[in-house]
Amino acid sequence: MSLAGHLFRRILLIIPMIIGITLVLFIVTHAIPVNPLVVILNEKSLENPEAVRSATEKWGLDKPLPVQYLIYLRNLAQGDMGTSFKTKNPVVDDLRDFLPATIELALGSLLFALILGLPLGILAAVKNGRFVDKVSLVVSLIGASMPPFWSGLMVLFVFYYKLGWLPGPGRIDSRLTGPEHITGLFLVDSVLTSDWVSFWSSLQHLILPSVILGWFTLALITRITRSSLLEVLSLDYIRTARGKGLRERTVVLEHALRNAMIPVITVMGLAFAGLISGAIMTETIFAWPGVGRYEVEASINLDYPAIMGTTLLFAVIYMIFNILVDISYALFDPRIREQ
Amino acid sequence: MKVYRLMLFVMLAALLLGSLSACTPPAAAPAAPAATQAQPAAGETAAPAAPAEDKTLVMAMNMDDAVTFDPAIAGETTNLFVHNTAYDQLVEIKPENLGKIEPKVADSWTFSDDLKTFTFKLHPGIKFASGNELTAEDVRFTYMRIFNVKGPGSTNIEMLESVEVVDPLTVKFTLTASTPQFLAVAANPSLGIEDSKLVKEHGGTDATDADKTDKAKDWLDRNSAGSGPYVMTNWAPKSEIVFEANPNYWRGKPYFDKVIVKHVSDPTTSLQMIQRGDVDMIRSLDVDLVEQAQADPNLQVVIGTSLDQNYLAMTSNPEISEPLSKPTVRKAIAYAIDYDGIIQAILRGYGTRAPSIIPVGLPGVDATQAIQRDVAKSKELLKEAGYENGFEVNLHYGSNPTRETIAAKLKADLAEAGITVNLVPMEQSVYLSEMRAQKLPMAFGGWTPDYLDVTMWTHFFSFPDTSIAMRMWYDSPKTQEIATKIESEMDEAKRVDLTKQWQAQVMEDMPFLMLYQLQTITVLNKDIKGYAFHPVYFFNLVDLSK
Amino acid sequence: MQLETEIHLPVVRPSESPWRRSLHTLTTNRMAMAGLLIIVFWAIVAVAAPLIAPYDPFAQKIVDRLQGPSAAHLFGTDELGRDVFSRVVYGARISLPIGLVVVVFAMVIGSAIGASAGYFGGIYDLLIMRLADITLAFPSIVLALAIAAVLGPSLRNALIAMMLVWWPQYSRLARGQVLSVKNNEYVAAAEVVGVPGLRILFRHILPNTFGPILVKAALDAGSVILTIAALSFIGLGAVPPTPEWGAMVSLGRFKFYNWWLTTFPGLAILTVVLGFNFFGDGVRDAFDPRTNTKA
Repeated sequence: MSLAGHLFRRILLIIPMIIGITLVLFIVTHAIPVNPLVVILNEKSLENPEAVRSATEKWGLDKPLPVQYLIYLRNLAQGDMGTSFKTKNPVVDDLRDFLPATIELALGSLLFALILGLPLGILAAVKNGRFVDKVSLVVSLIGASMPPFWSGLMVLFVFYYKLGWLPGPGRIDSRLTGPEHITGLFLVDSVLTSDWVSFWSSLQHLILPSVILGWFTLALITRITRSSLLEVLSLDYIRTARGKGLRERTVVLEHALRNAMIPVITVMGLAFAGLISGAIMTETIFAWPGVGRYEVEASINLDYPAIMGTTLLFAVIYMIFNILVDISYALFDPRIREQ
Repeated sequence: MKVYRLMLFVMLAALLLGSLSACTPPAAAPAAPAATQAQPAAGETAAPAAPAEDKTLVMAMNMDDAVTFDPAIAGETTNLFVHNTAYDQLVEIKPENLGKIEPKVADSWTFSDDLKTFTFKLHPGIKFASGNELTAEDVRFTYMRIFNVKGPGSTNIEMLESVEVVDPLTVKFTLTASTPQFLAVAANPSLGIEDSKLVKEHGGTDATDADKTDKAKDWLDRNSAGSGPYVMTNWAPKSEIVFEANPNYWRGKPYFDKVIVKHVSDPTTSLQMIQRGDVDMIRSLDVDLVEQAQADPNLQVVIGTSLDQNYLAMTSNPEISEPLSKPTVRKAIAYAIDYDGIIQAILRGYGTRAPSIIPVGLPGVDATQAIQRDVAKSKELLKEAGYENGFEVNLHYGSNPTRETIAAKLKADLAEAGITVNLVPMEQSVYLSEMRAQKLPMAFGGWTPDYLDVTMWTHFFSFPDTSIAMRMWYDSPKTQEIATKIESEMDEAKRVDLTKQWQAQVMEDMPFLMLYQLQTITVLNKDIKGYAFHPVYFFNLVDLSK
Repeated sequence: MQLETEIHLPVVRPSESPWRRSLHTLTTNRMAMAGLLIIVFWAIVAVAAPLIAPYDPFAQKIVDRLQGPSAAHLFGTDELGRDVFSRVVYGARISLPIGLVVVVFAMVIGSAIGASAGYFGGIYDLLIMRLADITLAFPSIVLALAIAAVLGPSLRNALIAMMLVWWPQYSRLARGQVLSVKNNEYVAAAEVVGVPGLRILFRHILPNTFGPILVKAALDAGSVILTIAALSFIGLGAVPPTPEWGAMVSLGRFKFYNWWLTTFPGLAILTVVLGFNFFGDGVRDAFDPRTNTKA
């Protein structure tokens, strides 16, 4: 099958997946032993008959559940994920407000994981089995073992409070109110508006949370770089290159690395999707106004339109990145394309 | 070649992000009109700006509860502070004297003997931040919009029948029942007068179907439409609120040009931020951090007594809990709790305790009358009720760190009297759902006032058709009789006397017992002056200066 | 981190019997053994908790609250005057078994479902795999969060949430394994002889799929423990006064100046997870021929 045809089929498959996902979510969330009115209104208004009637009507709470689900699906088809019980905003609007912060954090983390993970992985492969290899493994595994809600507290205490090297929680200095809103990504917006004060400040604020979150992905990048490079290094053409008397450095960096990057790029896509959903804990500690916090808040308040919306968003991001990864795989690896 | 493909991938990813964020701009748009409106006004006053001096105040505050700032829909706590800062109410209750109603937008007022009509004379010449004149029509619009949107805000004015504009500076309220607390209600920050022209421009309406047709929420979430000392110019949820001084403020331009309220949910972080100079004040600090704050020579710590009650409610329904339905058993529980341990050790002394649900600070409430621990007496009462071998009961509560600690303490205390308590922490909303379904045997909850009048407590805790009394099956004719009297009595002395009677009766029945009333610990940089704690809206931002 | 094993599906061929050699590789891997040592250490702590802990982890002594580490209280005391050391020790009795239960459950049920789907195929396979796809479409922490929120905060519910989230990964893996083994001669031979399907599945096919599944289980144990701690930290897992490490960090962070409240439970989580990750990594090196490139 052609790549385009394959792609089309994959994208088409998202639709039944979304229906399945929403159905599961709808059943799961409506099993909540909570009266939505409690979430929509405040404690003192629960016996106010007018407020109760109006809210019931507005959120369609009096309709039977299957009907509520069909309404949800119909609205979803029009890009409407319903209205949050808590914020009373369309969930889509809320997500649009909170997503950029998460994307910025995920990108920062991915960058950190790559900057540290690629050299570590290469080093580990070249010095296979030796001390450096072991150290790189230990470093990356420690990252994957640290509870981010704990390590976040620790680095804030040391680097912000005690040493004052890096700024504290939040996306930007507390006396700044952020660059003009264009994309919602502070770094991009501040470049677009030449707001260098904001740029510098948000860049510094991005460091600590990116390290904490990115360290989690480090093990993945390091390992895959290492094993992929090892495999390539054992191939014939590398032997030939070596045989020609090329320097090892040239062999590794110029000949082997290129081909070894294919699986790394593949994994990067999935890692990015993972980072977006994995940011929940880091966002909580670093007062980062992202989707993860929105999801936690929604879960704690049992705001089920918001829970459904966020979970669906994460699932769709996952699926899209899976497809992107497949495409990139096909693009990079001709063998697959021919299949 | 491969590098090129890598770039392709990155571009692909960027494209996706771009398409995601491409749908963003509308969110930014609402902020713009406010800015353009504020600027010409700033030009008018032409105050010579002193750019060298930084007149920005940054405050750390936990705003986890903030979900909307539309006065008609908001029903939490943070919005009370915001609405007090950006809007002016008809009357006000100042921190210095919580029993006294003072003029604000209204210079004076009169009411009928049956307490069903209230007429207010407005202060002439008040301008909104937008430059529009504040008139009786704005007052009418505000009340009717809140009433008709039918959100939490409407609960406080359920008794409203009509609002009439007598002349541009006179407005008359007609109520369905006699309401002695109406003036206190009118001081509620969320009943701040809205600029009707501005709100209508942004989709607001006071029509009877406003719950479906009003579209002003989006705009009111990120902007304010009041005449208060500051204008809210942006709200980034879970992040910050930005206030700018209202140059038209009729009581004089406020000291700070700009106030940024940062959302910081972690108390330790907020203390670190003030110590590192990232913020100038912390709205409320955890009791366990007070020592660190006090030890810092650059900080001042101000203690204020809140009216936030934390109570233990026990069901009167024998089907839910046979033992708890007996007043003797409920009293035995009251005697078993180590209140001093809670307040002195866990709250480090930053708390107090009223004898009944009406908090210390209201007229007629005397903290010394509260029950003290007496385990022997508790056991005696249990024996009297036929439970000398104790019993088992579930304690439900909405989970938060302080409650968790105190619940564990309650479990240990009641064990000494022979009562086995099982802790059942829940999400706050599940807790409220279950409580509202009248299912809970024992509930550990809290109650914060929207306005300062004794009915804020006697009403909700007496009548079996409303709120806490209903949820815990409390149905005592004597209590209801006294509560009914309070609701038609305007004479202050008589009200105090009735308050005392109500208190005594509730202590006799013991459907709820008070655990603690928290004190609020505010931390400020040493050079900030003018702070005074207020139990409803925290403090008046306009009072602060350097 | 399970991605790699999904991308390459290693096959353990019955003819080779690599178990012995793999086991040898594992036991000579110093890092894996260090991991195992840490796990064994915590397992002993968990089993012998009542002997090790000097105090009752629930006993409150309000006058001694928030004391720093001392000879009497090695890790200090918490907000109710409970001994933090004893609580950390008892915490091992929660985190370790939970990690184990979730992984074992997910592994057994997940592989059984996946293997049967792969073996029997047809509509059953289709339904099961769609369900697995849907579950896998959610990032695990997100779905666990939603489920835990729905079920209400308790350790048991968090456990259920984790199981519901984790099984499909094993199903996929097992299904893939079964499909690749199914057409082997010896299976065909068994079918010809008339051995019943289920028996073929359990006696002949499943044992040959264990390698990669075990590798995955070893790698997963750490993340399961971490996720449970995270759920408790948010308030959707263990409820007080349970001495669960994540919950302890959660309460302690509000009193960060009493550093011992967060440091010790945090270190406990870190070391346990590190132990599992070290060990899991060694298991992968030893049993997954694909990454075993050291020869």
